[in-house]
Parts: sequence; structure tokens; C-alpha cells
Amino acid sequence: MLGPHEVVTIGLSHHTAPVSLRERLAMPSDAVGRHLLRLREDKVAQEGFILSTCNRVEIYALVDGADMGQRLSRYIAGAHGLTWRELDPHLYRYQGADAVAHLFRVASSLDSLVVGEPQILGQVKDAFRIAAEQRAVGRFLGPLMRRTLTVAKRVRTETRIGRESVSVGSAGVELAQQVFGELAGRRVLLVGAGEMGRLVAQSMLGQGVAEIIVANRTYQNAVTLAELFGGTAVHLDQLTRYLEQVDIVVTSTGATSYLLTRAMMAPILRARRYRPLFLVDLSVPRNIEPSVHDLEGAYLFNVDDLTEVAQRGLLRRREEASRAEAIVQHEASRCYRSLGARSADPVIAAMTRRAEDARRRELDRSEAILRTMPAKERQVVEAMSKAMFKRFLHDAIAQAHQLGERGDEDGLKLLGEIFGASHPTSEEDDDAR
Amino acid sequence: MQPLLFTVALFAYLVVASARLPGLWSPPSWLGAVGRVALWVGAVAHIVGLGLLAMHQGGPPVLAAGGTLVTLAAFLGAANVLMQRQPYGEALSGVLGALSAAMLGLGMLLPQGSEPAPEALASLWFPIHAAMILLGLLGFALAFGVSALYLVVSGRLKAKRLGDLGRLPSIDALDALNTRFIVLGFLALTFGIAAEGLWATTIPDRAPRLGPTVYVTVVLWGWYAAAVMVRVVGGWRGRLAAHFSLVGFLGLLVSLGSIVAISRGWH
Repeated sequence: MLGPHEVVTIGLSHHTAPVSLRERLAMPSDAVGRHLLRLREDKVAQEGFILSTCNRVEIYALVDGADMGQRLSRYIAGAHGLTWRELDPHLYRYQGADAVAHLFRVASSLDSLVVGEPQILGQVKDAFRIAAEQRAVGRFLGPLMRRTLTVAKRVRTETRIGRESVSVGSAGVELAQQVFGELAGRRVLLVGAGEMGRLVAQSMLGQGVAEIIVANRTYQNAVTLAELFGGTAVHLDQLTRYLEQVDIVVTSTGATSYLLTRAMMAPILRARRYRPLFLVDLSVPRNIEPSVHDLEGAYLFNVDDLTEVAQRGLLRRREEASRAEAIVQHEASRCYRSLGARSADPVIAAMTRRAEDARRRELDRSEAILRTMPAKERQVVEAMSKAMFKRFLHDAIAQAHQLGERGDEDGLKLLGEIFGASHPTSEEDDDAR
Repeated sequence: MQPLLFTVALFAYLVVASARLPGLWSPPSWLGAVGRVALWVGAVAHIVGLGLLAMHQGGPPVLAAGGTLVTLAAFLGAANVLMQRQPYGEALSGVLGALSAAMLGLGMLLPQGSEPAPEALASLWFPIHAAMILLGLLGFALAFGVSALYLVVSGRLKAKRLGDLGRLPSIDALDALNTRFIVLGFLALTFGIAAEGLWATTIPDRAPRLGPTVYVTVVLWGWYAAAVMVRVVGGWRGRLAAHFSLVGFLGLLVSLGSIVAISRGWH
């Protein structure tokens, strides 16, 4: 428990709910802002933020410890015109350290449909930004948001979860990088207008290739595709000329025989002085004779090779996910403890205020004597009195932090009473915010 | 003291090779760290040992075959340390570690030269000649290491063993590096030979001696001149160019090793 409150997560995702339900709950950003406002006005939650993506809708909230989010669950159903019975089987609920761990998992892309995908972190950042703009987060969820971004970054840098290729497009890029290193400045020849070829070319464009040349049997289709990539369209019969100039060839046509044969490629590779030529044949049946791969300077990969790289990447991501999970669990319990320590803040603030009042009163009482002292000596007395009170309170403050970390509500209350500083109830805490 | 330091360096280089060469296939992170520490230990012990040997002999120990190999291996060890920050540094260090160990081990077995230096070596041209030849050999040794790694990476792509993609340097980067090292080695060797010629003119009554070292040097120069022509002028790339570097340096080691075994000296 965080004082009289608790942090909870209530939501549904692709793991628990079909798209038909997810789409009913999905909220555009302006609706998120409205819901955050209503949650606080109706005193359903003290703090909160909402993560709404195509795969999940989740509300993270600081709620009254006695209620534990029951009202929040009903609010979600009511706000979307659903009955409790319709919604409840698809909802998951986490509280305390588990809720924190779930947020860290989501932001680190461990709970995503494709583990390690990078988009989720941007969506989490957007959710945080909207909540901050609405002033819907404060003493507890504010630090939690900041910590979430740090943990997600740590997972990305300390594991390879986001680095392995998991799509055919990124596998093509990864293989090309093993030949050329950086792809910036390279020239790509796309033969055919097949969907897979487009995907690979698109991924390469994202890596900064200098130019994409599109060759197609139907010239108009080549022109259309070239316009899409900002490239150049050429006729298929000009293929040989361009094969001498480009670095990467991607074929994806419906041709039923080889477009590029060994006999055709051997002199081209020789004319290139065996400068590496990376070829990706995504067509079935294949467009490039497999033995081209045996020629010096040619590196030919087909759709099976790319799929193998993508599948291996997926497997590696899963392996990395267990390492990432350990980081998340460790960080979540640490973060929850530090949030707990924050629940002692009102007691500590009251204790400090009371000590400062007492110090001021004593100094005022001795004002007549202090006035006769030189300014330097008065400063020394002032500093000494501050140091004495600080020293006196040090152990009590440390104790308050520990009680907060342990969630010991009674202990905090007692400590407050000893120092004549009452521990605020949840209602008072809300008002203080 | 220096034999002990050289022995430490030799073992450290062997550790580097053992830790980093298997790393070409599937590198566990702790093995990489072991290799990094061993490389530093080896290079430092080696350079300190070389410094002590130079102090003992009153100059760089390049008059005898053993001393030359020990010096060249030290340069290679230092270059290996310097290249650690490069993207290809870790993958290359296993090959270079093995090469350093081989040259240092051989250098330790051969005489490192302790007799007083001939008077002719007092000429200013001698250190220029020696430094350039050493730089040339260093360039060829580095080109050898890079070419070996090129063939490994290229072979894996050809065999479609795609397990550790991204952990090894790209073949294009290795190819470019090979060209740079060959050009560096060739230019240094050319200057070294020219400096030797100029040095010979300063020695009175010295008849030109055409020994096996001179023949090997001429063949070596011709070989690498051809390699530079093929790569830089002709623009030829790939495995052919890598084999040029490999064969050149292996041929160099075998030829010079034979000369030393027969004549117990360079000239």
C-alpha cells in the first residue's frame, strides 16, 4: 500500500479480448483527456493515466486502498456502454508492485504481440504526455512514469530484444548489412512489383539507400512503384546494364522461369570486378538461378533464407525476453518500495514544519539577546539551531521512509502522533494534491 | 627479465586467440572480456620486454631475425589494442592474437642479436630503412589478419550459416581495410628499400651483395605491387584480393624463415 492509496492497473489486451471488444474500448487522445478529468472529478482515482492502442486499453490509477479499483472497473464498463458481465471476463487487474511490473513489461515491449517491437514505447510516452498535460499525475504516478521510461531504455540497451530481425523486410536489411555494413548510399534494383519485394525495398529505403530503380515487365507499374519510392523506372530489357551498377537486387515477379541465370550473371560479375552484389529472390517460383550464389562476388538469398533469419530473430527475442523479465521484476520491486517511501512524505513534511515552528519560536523568544550580537554570530546561532533540529529529526525521517516502504500505515500514523503531526487520511491527501 | 615478460606476452596472446577465435562462431560475453584483459596484459608485457631488450642492446633489436620478429609481434599487439574500439576490432583480435603469438614464439626461439652492431649501422639511413621495413611488414601482417577474417565471413555467407549475423564485420568493410593495409605496407616497403639503397651509397668500399634476402625482398615487392595494381588500379575485389594478401604474407614468413634457418641472419 502507498499510504491510504494503492496503484492499480485495470485493462484488456490482445491476450484477453477480441478485437471487437478492444475497438469498443479504444480511446482517441481527446477522449483520454476527458476520461482522466472525469475519473478525478468523480473521485474514482486520485491520479491516473490511460494507455490506449490497437492492442490494449489500460488504466493505471492511484485509488483508495479500501476500494482497490472496484469503482474504476465499473466506471470503464459504464463509460463504454457495456454491462459488467460483458466486460469483466476480459479484464485483468494488477495492484501494487504487480501493477508497476506490468507497466514496465508493457513499456519494454515484453507484453506486445511482436515482442521487442519499438512502437509501444512511443505510445506509452504519448499516454504520459496527455496525463501530464491534464495534471492527472502527481506524487506517485509522476515518478512512476519517469521510472518506466528509464526501465524501458535499460531493457533495450542491456538486452538484444529490439535488435533481432523478425520480419522478412528487416531480415533482408540485416543480410545486406552483413555484406555492405551501412546501406546509406547504396543503389537498389527492384525487379517486379510483388508485395514482398516492396516490403524489403521499403525497409532498405528506411536505411538510407541512395536510389531505388524499379524494373517491371509492365512499364507503367514500374513507374507507379518508382514514384512511391522516389526512384527511377526502367524497362525490363535494360536489366543487364543496371546489374553492373547497383549493389542490391531484389526480385519479386510472377515469372515462371529464371530471369537471371548463371550464364548471364558470370560476365556481369566479372565486369563489376567482383564488387559484391547482394541478391534477394523473393519469388516463387524463383527468378534467379540458385547457382548464381556460387559465383564470386554474388550473395544470393531466397525467401526461405529470409524467413529463417526472421524466425531465428523471433526465437532470440524470446530468449532475451527472459533476461528482460528479470530486469523488469527487479526494477518493479525497487520502484514500488521507493513509491512507498513517498507515502511518508506528508508525515515528514508535517514533522519538519512543526520542528521549524518550534525553532522559530525559540529564536524569537531570545530575540532581545540575539539583537545585541554581531551579525556574524547571529548567523552562527541560526545555522546551529537549524543543524540541531535537522540532526534530531534525521532518525525519525529515516524511520518514516522505512515505514512507508513497508506500507506500514499504522506505524506512520503513530510516528505522526508522537511528533504531533497527524498522518493525513486519503481524503485529506486528495485535498493536499 | 625480458624472457619472462615475453613469455607472459606469449601466453596472453594465446589466451586472446583462444578466447576470440571461437568468438567468430558464437561469442559468449565473458569470453570477450577475458580476451580484452589478456590483450592488454600481453601488449604491455611485450612492449616493456622489448624496451628492456632495446636498452640492453643499445638500440632497437632488429639486427637479428629473432629480435625483428619480436619487434614486429609487439607492433602487431599494439595495433590490435588500438583497433579494439573499431567495430571490427573484437572479431579481428583473435586472428591478430594468434599471429602475434606465432611471431613472438618464433622470435623467442631465434637469436635476438646481442653482438655489437657493425659501424655501418651508425648511418642515419639505417633507422629509416629498419622502421620502414617493419612498418611494411606490419601492414602486410594486418592485411593477412583482415583477409583471413574476410574469408571466414564471406564463407559463412556463401554457406548460408546465418546464425551470428551482425556480430561480425561486413565483408565490404573488411575488403576496404585490406586495401588500406596493403597500400600502407607496400608504400612503407618501397621507402624501406629505397632507404637501404641510399644507405648502401654511404658505405665506402661496400660491394653490392645479392643474397637470398634481396631476392625475397624483390619478389615480395613485386607480389605486393601486383596486389596494389589489381586492387587500386584494376578495382578487383573479393576473395581473389584476400588470397593475394594471405599468400603474400605466408610466402614472406616461409621465405624469411628459410633464410634465417640456413644463414642464421638477415644478410
